[in-house]
Amino acid sequence: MEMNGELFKLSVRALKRRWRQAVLLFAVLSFSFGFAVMTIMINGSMEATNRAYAEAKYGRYDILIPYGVPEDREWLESREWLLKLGTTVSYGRLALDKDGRNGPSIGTVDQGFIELGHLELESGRWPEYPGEIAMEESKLDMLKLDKTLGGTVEFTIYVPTNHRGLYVPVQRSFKLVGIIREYADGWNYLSGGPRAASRTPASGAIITEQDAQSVYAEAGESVGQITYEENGETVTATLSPLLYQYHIIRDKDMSRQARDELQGYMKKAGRLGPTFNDDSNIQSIIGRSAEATSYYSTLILIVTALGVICIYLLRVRSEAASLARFRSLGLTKRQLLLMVFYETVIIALPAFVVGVGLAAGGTALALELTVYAGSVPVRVTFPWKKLMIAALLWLVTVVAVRLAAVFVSLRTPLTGRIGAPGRRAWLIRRLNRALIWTLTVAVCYTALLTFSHSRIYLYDLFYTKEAATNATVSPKGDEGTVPANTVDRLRLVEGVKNVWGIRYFVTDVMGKALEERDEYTRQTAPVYVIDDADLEYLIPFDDLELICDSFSREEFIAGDSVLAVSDSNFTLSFGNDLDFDIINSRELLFPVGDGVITARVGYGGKFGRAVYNTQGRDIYDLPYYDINDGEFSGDHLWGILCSESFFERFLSSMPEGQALDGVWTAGERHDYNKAVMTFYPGATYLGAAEEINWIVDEAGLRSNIGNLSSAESYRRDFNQVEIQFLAGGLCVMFIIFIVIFSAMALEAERERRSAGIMEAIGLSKSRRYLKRLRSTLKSFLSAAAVSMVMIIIKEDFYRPYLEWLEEDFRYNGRLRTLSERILDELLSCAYGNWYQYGGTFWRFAIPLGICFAVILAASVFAGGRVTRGNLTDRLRDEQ
Amino acid sequence: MDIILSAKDVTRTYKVSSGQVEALRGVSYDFENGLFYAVIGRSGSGKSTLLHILSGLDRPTSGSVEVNGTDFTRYSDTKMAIFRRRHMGFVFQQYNLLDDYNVLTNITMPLTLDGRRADQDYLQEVTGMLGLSDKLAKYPSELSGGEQQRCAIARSVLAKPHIIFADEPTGNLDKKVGEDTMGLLRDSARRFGQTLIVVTHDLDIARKADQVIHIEDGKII
Ligand SMILES: Nc1ncnc2c1ncn2[C@@H]1O[C@H](COP(=O)(O)OP(=O)(O)O)[C@@H](O)[C@H]1O
Ligand SMILES: [Mg+2]
Repeated sequence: MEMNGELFKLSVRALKRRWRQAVLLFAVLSFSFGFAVMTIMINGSMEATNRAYAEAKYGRYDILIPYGVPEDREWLESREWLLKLGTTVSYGRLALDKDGRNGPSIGTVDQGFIELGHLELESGRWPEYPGEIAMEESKLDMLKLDKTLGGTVEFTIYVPTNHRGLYVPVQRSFKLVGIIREYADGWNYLSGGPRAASRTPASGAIITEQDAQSVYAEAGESVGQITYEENGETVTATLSPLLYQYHIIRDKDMSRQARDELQGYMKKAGRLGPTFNDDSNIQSIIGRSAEATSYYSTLILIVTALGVICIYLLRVRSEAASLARFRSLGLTKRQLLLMVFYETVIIALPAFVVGVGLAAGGTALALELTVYAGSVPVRVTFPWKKLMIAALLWLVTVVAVRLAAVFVSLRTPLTGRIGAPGRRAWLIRRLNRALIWTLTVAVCYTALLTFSHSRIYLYDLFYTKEAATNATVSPKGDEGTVPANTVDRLRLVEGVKNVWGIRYFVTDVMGKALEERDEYTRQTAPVYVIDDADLEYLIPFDDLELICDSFSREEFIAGDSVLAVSDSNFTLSFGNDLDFDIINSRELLFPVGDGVITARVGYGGKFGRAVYNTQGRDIYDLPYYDINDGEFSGDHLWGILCSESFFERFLSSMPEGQALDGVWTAGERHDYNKAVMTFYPGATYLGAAEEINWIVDEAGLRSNIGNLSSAESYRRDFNQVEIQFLAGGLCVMFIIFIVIFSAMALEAERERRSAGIMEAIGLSKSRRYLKRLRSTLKSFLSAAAVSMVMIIIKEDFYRPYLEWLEEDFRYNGRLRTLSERILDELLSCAYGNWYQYGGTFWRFAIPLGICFAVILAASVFAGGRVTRGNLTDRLRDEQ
Repeated sequence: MDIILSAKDVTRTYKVSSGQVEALRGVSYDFENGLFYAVIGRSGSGKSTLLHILSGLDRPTSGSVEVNGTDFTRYSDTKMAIFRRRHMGFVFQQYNLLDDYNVLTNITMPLTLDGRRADQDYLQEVTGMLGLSDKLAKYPSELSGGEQQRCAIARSVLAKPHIIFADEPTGNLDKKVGEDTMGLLRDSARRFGQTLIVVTHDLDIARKADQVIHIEDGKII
């Protein structure tokens, strides 16, 4: 209709005339919508990325049954949700370690397992006929066997009996038909997620089933002659049952059913339940992120609504008046609605488009910058459905607010000076104030929540660069060296911080107290011996210099001081005192002067910085950032890094297998060279990993870079939690700040006339500012108090404090006094770990300080607008 | 005699917090086509209320108002709006111009809303006569009070309504400007054969009217 076109033109003209306001509104709308969509998009994208990651890492929606029996197979094959099944059976060991436990195993695999376990051949083929074998090169090296394909290999297979450490040896020879690629990941994959106590290795040597059966049969014949003593009696040994492992791919849509059935089945059989890799690890992370992002999306939508209301409300009076004037000239209700509709759409539609664009760009950028998903590319998804729902909600809010103006105008009598009558104007002003106050509460709350909730992650965010992770490059066999030129090339890889060649020994250290408690069995502490030449690369190690302020290279060489770092991870669970036992007793072994220091940091979820005294000075540990939040378990690093001459003494002073003041030491010596490098698991990580692998491949070496699980999980946690809380929180804060700014500015615009009148009768500008400051302070303080109460009554806020109190009571038999507590709080701030448990004061003060600064700025800015322009103009002003 | 507008027993009561105000208590009057009426009376006597009801901006509590024999007081809001922009012109004491649009858009607004276009010759004639020709691109906030009121007059005249109402159109203007403005309004009404109903305090203006309606306490006397 032609008429509609005219109305449209009128709307455009009106908007042009009020372009400042229109632009502001446009900005608020597009930003807020953009952020809401962005949080939704990040959520969807991370979900997709995680799924892809799970697929790549674990095969696909897989389940592993590590301790299976032959009967399981039939049951499993009859399951509706089973897509693929792989089986591996271990028949015995190729060699035995001291207590006969962890030697590499020999066994069979079926085709399914080869596929699911990502087993690949370096050369040759899989054994097909009896008498054939495929082995890992390192296993051949270990047994000192000939590595030529087609050659004969002969060795002893140790078949386990029911008595721990007792095996039946079976001599066999095979024709070597294949070399199995050594896997960092698929080969030795995690069987139970991060919390599982053991990794379940696949066999390092694969033979046919017939051969395996014959080995087992032969062992069965001779096991009757083997006896052992138990409780003073002589017992005849029997073979231990074969160890079946099933690797299952299930239908992803039937995960619940699969889980329930499997758990029921295992329970009935009285065996350990299976692990659900995808569900338990990754889904839980997704769950957390989904929760938070929907929280923030909702919050953003609410804030947008408040912002839109706020801005339109300021205009409601003048707008209603103008609409009423239109009506007096004969604008029908339909035309009125149409005009408002046009005005809304003209702003909202481009805001919608720009918002979606902003969101897409923002999401891609945020994910690009912060997400590391291993070998899987990060996916950016476009969740149409959710987007539409968000858009709809958002539009409804905008339209609803605009309609409010229409209804006010319909109520406005068309007589006299058309406009909202005094009482209504007063009400609107009140409402507007209330909205700004609510927004202030919202921003304080969000700031507190964001900063206190993500305090650990926030720290990680800033320290990602320092969260160096280590990788090692080593020869394929147990002997050999990493050539110097490889080390040099590795040094040139971007992101690699330093590389040093080391000779690598393994020492077992075990605390007696630990053994008594039977809490864990053994720690293996690598001892790294550094060539003098490589010291060059050690000394510039920033962290070391930074933290060990009294450390100098000269002293290191001259005095044989030893600093300890580590690249090994343990998942342990123990308290402080035990750990100190080890350290203290080690000090007995190596008295001050020799300067052995262990790095013992980052356990218990606390960021600990242990300080050890050697040669009369303090030396601090390297920092290590724990990814666990608040649990008394976590990755624990330690190891010894020392010079060659020191190590000689170390060895000679360490009686093998003997108890020494509470510490067991034993020397299982792996005497080979490897290159240890440190690099950041940051943005350069992916590229670095690729390049390192390339160099390593070319040099015929191997690296554990594909297996940097700590780095990976670190990154995964980082992605999810950081993005959701920090980005979400900052987005909300940003929007609220924009809204508050604009609301105050618009309010100021309206105040100009009354302020002009006040000024005309003698109120000075400074007094006006002072008045403004006072009222800002008043409303801010009340808003901050309300938001603080809202935070404090959240359980996850006060729970740690309750735990503290409980601990106090348990250990001291009394509660600490308030002054002690405050002192502790301040001390923990001083130590820099306020972001974890302590520093309540700062956790409140910093976010609230930021909010106050911004709101004050908004207020001053608005104040400036009130008094802008000359007085006579302002007195004429009427809206 | 050609009756264009007739009010029959019109009453209007306002509800206020202290009870009821009877602004009009049974007003009946017939307006002849093409004449100039002046409505006078003390402040609060009900002049504005009467004008609002006659022009369809407000509805009577009881009674009816007919234009050419049709009662429009029971029209729906929409029909009333269309009726207003086709048949009635209104000049307010406070001008009530639309701040967001320039003078030209403001004065053509009733036509625009009706989906019509202004007759260019007529537009030039009206704006020329009211001395607005060089102010068409300006915005209301840039005009003086007199100019704003002339703009309002142009707006009320341009759609060629049958009746033009003006509620104290010169109340905010000084004597001289007020007289000029009033003159223009009267001239244009006469020229285009429109009926003009003006509320005024100014007895000089009232003297020039064809008929003077005296209101007191909600009644014509
Ligand atoms: N919207 C209203 N609400 C309540 N009372 C009103 C309203 N408009 C006018 N009145 C009352 O009606 C009476 C007539 O008002 P009005 O027609 O404006 O008088 P005049 O224009 O002659 O000065 C006055 O007593 C006035 O107080
Ligand atoms: Mg009046």
